[in-house]
Amino acid sequence: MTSGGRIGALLFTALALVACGGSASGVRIVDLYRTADGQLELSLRLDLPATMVQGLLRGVPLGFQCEMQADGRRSTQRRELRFLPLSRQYQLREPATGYSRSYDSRSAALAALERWPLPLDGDHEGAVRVRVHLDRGRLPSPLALSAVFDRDWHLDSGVVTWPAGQR
Amino acid sequence: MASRATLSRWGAGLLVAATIIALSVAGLFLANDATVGRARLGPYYPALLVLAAVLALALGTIIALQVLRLLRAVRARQPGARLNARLLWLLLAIGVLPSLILFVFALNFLFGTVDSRFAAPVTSALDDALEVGRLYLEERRADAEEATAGIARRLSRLPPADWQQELDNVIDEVAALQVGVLAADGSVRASASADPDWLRPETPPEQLRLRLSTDGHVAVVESRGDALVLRALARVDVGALLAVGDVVQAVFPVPPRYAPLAHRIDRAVAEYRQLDFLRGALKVSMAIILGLVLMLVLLAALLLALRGSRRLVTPVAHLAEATAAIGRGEYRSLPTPSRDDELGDLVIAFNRMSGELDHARADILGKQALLEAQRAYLDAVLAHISSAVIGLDGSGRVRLLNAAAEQLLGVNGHDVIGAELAVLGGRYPALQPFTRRIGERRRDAGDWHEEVRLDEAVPPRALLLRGRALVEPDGGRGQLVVFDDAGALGRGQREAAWAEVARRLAHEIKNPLTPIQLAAERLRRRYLGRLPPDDADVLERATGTIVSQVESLKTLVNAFSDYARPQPPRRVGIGLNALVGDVLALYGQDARLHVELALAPGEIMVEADPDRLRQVLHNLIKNAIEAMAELPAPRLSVGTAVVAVDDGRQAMVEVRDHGPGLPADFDIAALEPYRSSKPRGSGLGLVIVQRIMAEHGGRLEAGNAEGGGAYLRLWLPA
Repeated sequence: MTSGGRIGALLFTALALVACGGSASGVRIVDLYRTADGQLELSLRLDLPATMVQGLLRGVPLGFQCEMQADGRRSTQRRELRFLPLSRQYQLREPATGYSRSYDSRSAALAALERWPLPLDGDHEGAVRVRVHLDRGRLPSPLALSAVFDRDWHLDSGVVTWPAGQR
Repeated sequence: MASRATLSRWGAGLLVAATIIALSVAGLFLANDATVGRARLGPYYPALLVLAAVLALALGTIIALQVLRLLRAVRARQPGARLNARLLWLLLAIGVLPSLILFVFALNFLFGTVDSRFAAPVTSALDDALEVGRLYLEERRADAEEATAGIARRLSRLPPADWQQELDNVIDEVAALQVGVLAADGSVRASASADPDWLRPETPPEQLRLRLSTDGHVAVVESRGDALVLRALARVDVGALLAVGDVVQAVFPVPPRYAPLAHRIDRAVAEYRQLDFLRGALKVSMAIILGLVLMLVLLAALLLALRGSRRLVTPVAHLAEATAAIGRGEYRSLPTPSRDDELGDLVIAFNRMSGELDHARADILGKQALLEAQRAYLDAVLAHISSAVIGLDGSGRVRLLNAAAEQLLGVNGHDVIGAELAVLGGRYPALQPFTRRIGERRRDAGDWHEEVRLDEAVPPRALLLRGRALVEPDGGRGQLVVFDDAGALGRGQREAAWAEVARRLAHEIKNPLTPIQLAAERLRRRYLGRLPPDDADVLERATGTIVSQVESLKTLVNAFSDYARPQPPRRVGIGLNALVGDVLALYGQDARLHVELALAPGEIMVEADPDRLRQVLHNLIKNAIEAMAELPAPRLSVGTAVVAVDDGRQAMVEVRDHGPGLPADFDIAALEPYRSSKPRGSGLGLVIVQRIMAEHGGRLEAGNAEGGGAYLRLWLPA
């Protein structure tokens, strides 16, 4: 996330609180674990609001962003979920790598999205600060503005430090 | 202070300008950004909105403060405030109403435009296209699934060792890109490929394996870059003894012409549905943007209205203020306006008028001061001339009466000024001949001369009147009458004649007196011893008589000289009490004379010639003693005092005798030389006293005292 965006998010917090009476988050970081092949992976719990599901089915691509800070370095990963009406499939894509995968069902696509590999060595031992949120700034233009005032489009895990309690 | 206020105004102006520009930029960017496909400023929307809100709040605060200030000015009834408020409301009405109408119209138009983009035929066509695409793919998918199931059935009838041969044969039959047999652990048991990009079979996704386990065969469409392929799976059922779980996987191509069409349909449908979904959001965004622009327009209009009305009204307020100041007699110029319009011309004209008024007022004040000076000069002249002056206005009222007139007529100016001539005559009956004659002459246009006798006055007197008609400022005809005491004029002429006589007498008589005296004394010395006693006695008495008479003549001649040749007094500061004491000391040897002295406390300083004043006192005391010559115990009272009068203080010396008093017809104003009430008087004593007092700016007063005797008072400026 850019610094401008961060400031904007901070400034927005007050506005959002006034406009919405508090933001409801549908994404939660459940666990950070090491996979069988030694990869560090985030386990998420995604609960898309009905409005968002409706938007997804009506062609709105949902961009999710994972911000990570470890060993004093920051990195950002993006994944995009979209629905393909012709094949009735859900496509999960990583814009940075061009990798994409199609799923016949939304649950399968969400299950794939809920496993988010981190670009860290498997033997990494230090604290990791992670935040996963819906990238509202990449929503289609009309929605990007109105989503500022709609808490259904405010998916944000908040910053989670792993292992818990470390800073 | 002025520069700080200017800087503050500049700062406020810059803030306002920056705010308007920032809001404009934010509105324009949002308007542009939020209506295109992807929001480039999406991440900054919250910050932009917060910034816009903060700036709008600041702008609103500035405006609110200015409106409050205006309301306070209206309440305080400051010049121009009400006009300013009216102009503000007018400008606002002009600006706000069209803006609101435009806002509603634009919103309605935009909403209508957005809704019109989702026409039913377009939606139906896209749905149909999508259905066609789906049917085609379904058909292809069913074919692929069927072909793969056929391969699986053929393989199930062959030993695994022949599977490779069979795959090599069948790949061309089914026109697949790749055909392979995968074991349950994912290993490839046999495979054939018709495309170098599809050499090795991929492990099928877990979800396909799950569907395979329930359905026995499955086929899905997959994207490979821009191309589409069909992946089909079928279970190879060869019996329980053989390789259970082997799967045939075949990849079939979708015709290349179909893939871009399918992509386009996919994208078009997705975008169309997205737009349909975003319809509400688009309307909200437009309402937000238009609202932002409207707020900007309204705030800017309000601010411009505030500033514009103030700018318009400021010269008017200055004019009103300056006009009120002119009413108070303050003439000031307004700052020269930089504007080139009617208001600017008005300010310039006002400045010119104010300057001319100021100049005219200064001119009037100058002339008024000159007039006052001339009036004061005239008053001084009138107050000090010996002739009496009376002025009448066109209606016959007394406008002017100088001190000499007051004295000569014996009236008080305060009682007379403003009164009609007839009223004056009624109040002072002795003056009726005077007032009647002037009344008769009041209509005369030219100069006139008259003599009027006031027989009823005490003492009776004759007045010489010289009149002249005067034109009043209001066009009426007034009269200026100058009059003198005819007796006093004659007396003056007589005094001059007598002075000439005295001078000649003194000259003619004084010269032979000394030889006569010397001759008489020589006769006496030479013949007194030679003559018989009888003759000697005659000679003694005769020469004695001659000498004493010559002495008397000398005294008389000296008095004539003093009268005939008056010298200007030599004025120095002298103490009146001390002078009186010195003079009285010379009479202390007279045992018969009893002197009563009543001097004022302290000392009375006057500017006078000490020798002449001493002479005056001698004359008065000598007169008093002579008046009491027949009394066995003459009593002389001498006193001094200081009396406050209108134009300062007057010192007074009174010499009173207790003799028979002054004759009934004695008039101090009618004293003439050589007329004495005493048998041996020269008639010059009081005349000389009167002259000396006049030379000193004083006067002589005489009268009979209560209880007998006469008093003579000397009045001198103290």
